[in-house]
Amino acid sequence: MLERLREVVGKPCWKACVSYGDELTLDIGDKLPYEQKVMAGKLTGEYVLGVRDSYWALTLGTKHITDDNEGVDIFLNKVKVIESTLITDINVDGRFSVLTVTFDNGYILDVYPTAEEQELDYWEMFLPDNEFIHMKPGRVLALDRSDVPM
Amino acid sequence: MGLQVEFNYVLKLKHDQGFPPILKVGLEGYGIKDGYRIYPINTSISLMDEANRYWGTVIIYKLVQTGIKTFIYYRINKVLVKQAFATRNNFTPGKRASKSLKGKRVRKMPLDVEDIKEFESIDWGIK
Repeated sequence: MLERLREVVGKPCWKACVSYGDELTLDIGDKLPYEQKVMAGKLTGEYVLGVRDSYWALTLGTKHITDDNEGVDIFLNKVKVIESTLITDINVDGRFSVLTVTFDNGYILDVYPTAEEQELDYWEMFLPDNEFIHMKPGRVLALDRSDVPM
Repeated sequence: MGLQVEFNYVLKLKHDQGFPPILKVGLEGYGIKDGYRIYPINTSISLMDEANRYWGTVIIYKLVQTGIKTFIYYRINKVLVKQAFATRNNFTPGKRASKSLKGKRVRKMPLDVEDIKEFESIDWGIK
């Protein structure tokens, strides 16, 4: 499964934005049109990483850039630094289940599964062909179909 | 002869033993310590770093003994610092810093100077 996750290595991260609930979302890889009519004219990533119920932090070397605790208006501007970059590494730490994404400009995004009452996924990475990898409650990594009811 | 067991009432971890990369309530992970160790299970105990500083409390929910190592699975349930976020390579583990950490790329815990002052001012009743 980590091999599927690592498909994004070498691909561009071209958009960093927020989705519902002010969750950080990265669009990665080719720019594809949405299939839904209501989203006509808009583009989504070939891969989409979405942080769900987790704490995340963006760092550059020893410098803390921003994190989930800052307001969306603040962190959204700061995370723009990882737009138009290439992803050079992605990994899941075996000890604390931390997802780490490294960008070619030196920035590193860490996603920490920290929810106290876990019901949602910690994060999810949508892949081509309607599949997605997600860290489920209990810190379990799973590869599932995204086009079937949960 | 016999089995040597160490009983512990706090969880003290070096970074290379599994001290948490950040201090956030809900974070789970495990530490690895040498020897056969017993900890209180499913109750809140203090979390200390290698410099004997208290950072919060954890709940140990599983212990696994392999004979020469103890795997301690824990969840952070209380954090005593206002802000503790993750960066890298700028860890100052205190006066008793481990030389083995120098020059190594490890996840580190940056601390605000005020946080350190605040903690050093606490009388924990432990000498």
